[in-house]
Amino acid sequence: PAQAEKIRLKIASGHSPGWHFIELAQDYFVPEVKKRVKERTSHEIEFIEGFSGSMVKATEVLEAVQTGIIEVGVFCICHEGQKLSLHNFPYYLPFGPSDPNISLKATRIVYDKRPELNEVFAKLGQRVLGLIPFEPYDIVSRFPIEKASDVKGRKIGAAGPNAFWVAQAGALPVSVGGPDMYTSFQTGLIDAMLIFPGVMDTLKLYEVAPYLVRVAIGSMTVVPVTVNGRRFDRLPKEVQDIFIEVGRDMEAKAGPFTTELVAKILKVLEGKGVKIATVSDSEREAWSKMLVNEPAKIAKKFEAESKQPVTEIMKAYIAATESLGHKWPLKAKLD
Amino acid sequence: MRKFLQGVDALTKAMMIFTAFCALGIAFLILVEVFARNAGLQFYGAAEYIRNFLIVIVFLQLPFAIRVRGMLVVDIFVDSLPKRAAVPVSIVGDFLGLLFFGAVAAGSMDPAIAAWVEGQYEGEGVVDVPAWPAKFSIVIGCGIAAFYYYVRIVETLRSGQIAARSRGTPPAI
Amino acid sequence: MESVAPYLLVCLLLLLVFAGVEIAVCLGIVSFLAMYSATQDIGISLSFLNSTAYEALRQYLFAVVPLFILMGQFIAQSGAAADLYWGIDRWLHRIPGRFAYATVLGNVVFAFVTGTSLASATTFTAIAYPQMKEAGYNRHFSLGLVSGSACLGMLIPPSLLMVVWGILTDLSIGHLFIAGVVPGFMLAALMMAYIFAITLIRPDLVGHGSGRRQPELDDAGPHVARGIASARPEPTSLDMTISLTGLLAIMVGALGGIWVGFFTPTEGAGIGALISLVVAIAKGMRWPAIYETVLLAARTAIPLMIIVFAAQLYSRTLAMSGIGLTLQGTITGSGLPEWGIVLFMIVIWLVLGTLIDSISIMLLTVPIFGPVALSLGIDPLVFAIVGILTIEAGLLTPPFGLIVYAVRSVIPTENVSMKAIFAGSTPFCVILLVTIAIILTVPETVTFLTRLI
Ligand code: NA
Ligand code: NA
Repeated sequence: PAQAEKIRLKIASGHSPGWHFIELAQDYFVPEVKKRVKERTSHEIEFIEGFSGSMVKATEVLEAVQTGIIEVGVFCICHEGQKLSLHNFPYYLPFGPSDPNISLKATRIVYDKRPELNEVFAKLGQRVLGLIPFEPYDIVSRFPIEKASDVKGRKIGAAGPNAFWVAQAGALPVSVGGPDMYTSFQTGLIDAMLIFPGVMDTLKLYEVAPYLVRVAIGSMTVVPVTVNGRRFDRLPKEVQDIFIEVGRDMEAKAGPFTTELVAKILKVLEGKGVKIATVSDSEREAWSKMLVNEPAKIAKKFEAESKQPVTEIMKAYIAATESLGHKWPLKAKLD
Repeated sequence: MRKFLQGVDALTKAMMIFTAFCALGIAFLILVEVFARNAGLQFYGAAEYIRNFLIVIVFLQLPFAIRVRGMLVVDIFVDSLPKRAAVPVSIVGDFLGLLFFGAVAAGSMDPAIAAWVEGQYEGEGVVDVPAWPAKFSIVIGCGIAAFYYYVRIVETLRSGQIAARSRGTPPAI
Repeated sequence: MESVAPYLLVCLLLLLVFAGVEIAVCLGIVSFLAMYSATQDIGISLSFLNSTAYEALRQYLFAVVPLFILMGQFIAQSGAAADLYWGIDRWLHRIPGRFAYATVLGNVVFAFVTGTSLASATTFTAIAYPQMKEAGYNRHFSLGLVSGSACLGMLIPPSLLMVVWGILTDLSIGHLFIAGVVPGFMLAALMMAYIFAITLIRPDLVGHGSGRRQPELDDAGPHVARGIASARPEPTSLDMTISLTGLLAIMVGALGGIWVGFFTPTEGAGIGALISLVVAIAKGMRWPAIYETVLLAARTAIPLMIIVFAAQLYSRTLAMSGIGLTLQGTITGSGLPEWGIVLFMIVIWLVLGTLIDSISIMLLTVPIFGPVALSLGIDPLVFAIVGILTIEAGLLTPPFGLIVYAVRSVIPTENVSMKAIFAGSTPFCVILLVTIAIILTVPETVTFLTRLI
């Protein structure tokens, strides 16, 4: 038997424990790895937790795992628009599945089918232990929104790769970060924000923006938990197996966990007097129409930059979602 | 050596003046963005540009702050040290400064080159702001900073006393 | 890093700081060495430096620092602020210590439009300090006053610290904002009471009794308020009109714009800087002076930003060394009574406040202390205000009083030691602690307004 080792690893994220994916990492991944290693091996694992950006900011987690500043990282691929342009595909295809469970399953199918996705991560010195889906994107708003044209000329907070969803609909995107969101609504700097129901609750946005417009623009599976490759290779074999196993188990939990969470949050928000409205299918189709040419443009740009099969991956994602029963309001023109 | 130092000083001063006015430039960029937004025009990326600009400004200003000894220190105890003790302490401090900023410069070299070669940018898809200016600013700023600490050590060793901190007129460079 | 390492780090840091090594270098080199000793890997340690250098300051919000400094310098150098103080001097004729009152009241107003104490500190050092100096106020007293009253910036809404606190603890940010109002006014009132006491006990501190102007040894160097401080004629009514309209325009245009939502705080700072430039030109400032002012503002802002970068390195090092876990174990396993635990947390905040910046302190402690306080049955709003006040008090204490450094860096050419400013700010630190004691004894001071809503 291998010599007993006491292993210290740093697990970090720029996001705070208020996010469900950090909850999964902190309350499931960490204790579960510790428990199984203790039960099944002679080794012991200690995690030093650095969430909320206390070790690294959201935009530097990928690189920090790569260089070895931290060993395990949790982050959003949306912050790595260039390095992970191949993995950011759910963002290029708005109005995909809104059920986090289906989004996760479809994304997993693509990851398993296309080796390029894991190869890019390997080149960046890390391996993916598990994926976690986001809640579906909805619009938190100070005014009611029924049609796509209602956002025209409005100041809408949308940072990162989702900005084009509202920009194409004629909105004025304002770059607003997490801590500023509340005051930005309060002062009227923004009228609406493309964001998750859970954020509306944790940041108390309902105090200043009482409408939750369910546009069903999609749930994106863009949060990986990754581990530094060199450090992983140096772990005892049986510990490596546990990491892979717990990562997979966490991913299996993540779909239902997120789906249930959304249902729970919607109830909580309703109880707090939030006015929840759903956008009709015909309006979603109208909105889709405005965006129909965007995916091909984006794919072309990133394909030229990364020399990776971005279009193929997008097509694979569309096929995977359809095989799981999702109906796109309008299919993106990709050829 | 003296010629070289004069050259670096001239560069430092030029960078200081250039980046000082960049701060005013940021204010104008903000004005344009606010005007556009409140006039109902789409205008992207001011925040993203400013974020990256900030790094350029701070690190290109750094050498000047060190050269004129404008960095902040706690002077509660050192002011009462006898010269015999103060000189070695000052040399140790300058050596640590050389080590630290030298390390930042060294650690930032490869990422800066990579940013240039790979055409890295920031902006998450809305605007593409090239990453190399900010990354090279760190290398240049911290590199010159480290060099100035070296100059300080040499000067202290040569004269046997510590140059005054910038309280009155900063040394003309 | 083993469990003694965090304490070793703190000791080494203090040693270097007190040896007079530049603060940024102290924080930076200790972090670098700690990282190296933990990883034994030079590549990782260098990456750590690079990653933090590139990311720590790359925040839109940080642009506020140079822009507000620029605004403050234009207001000060153009003489607009000086005119205002001339006005106050005339209108509050014969009220002893009127500039001191004006500084506190000015900070109350400014606090309603800014979210950071650093902005208040830099702006008021540039505006108020030269006036008080000219009026013969004791320098330590007036710099301490500027530092102390800057704390109002974080207590009166909007406040960056409250927003971060609300996010970390899942508290209503709106309620936090409202909760800060009464303690904010209370703090301002206590400061004015202190000033009143000073005018009775030590009138010489506020420029009375020893001649109008104190002899200074350091007037040789060109100083910040070069344009206003030397004997100058009383402003004409045209001067006064331009200055007061200009200041009003900055308040309404820039700061009011933030309040009603035309723009973000960063944008407000940018607009404010531009309006102040226009005011400066209207006041007769021309190219050479504008050029000098822009350079001076940059020279002021940069050492501050570099310290923010180095402080980030250090707080990250603390986080990576696992000091948080050590602390949580210490608290829960201590068996202290409730008041003992609260006192313990206050002491920790004060100690950390002597070392690192407020946001970092909150990131490191609030996730640990928040649940502890909740389990003790302390009202979370009361706990939040106490925490913010304590952390602010830490910003006034040596060796790392960020506010004091901000004040010092605005007057780079004056011969004032850090020790002197710290000495001047100590009474204000005590006033903050008194406010904390009042809030803990009468929690209604915090909860009263939120209950009304
Ligand atoms: Na405020
Ligand atoms: Na302090």
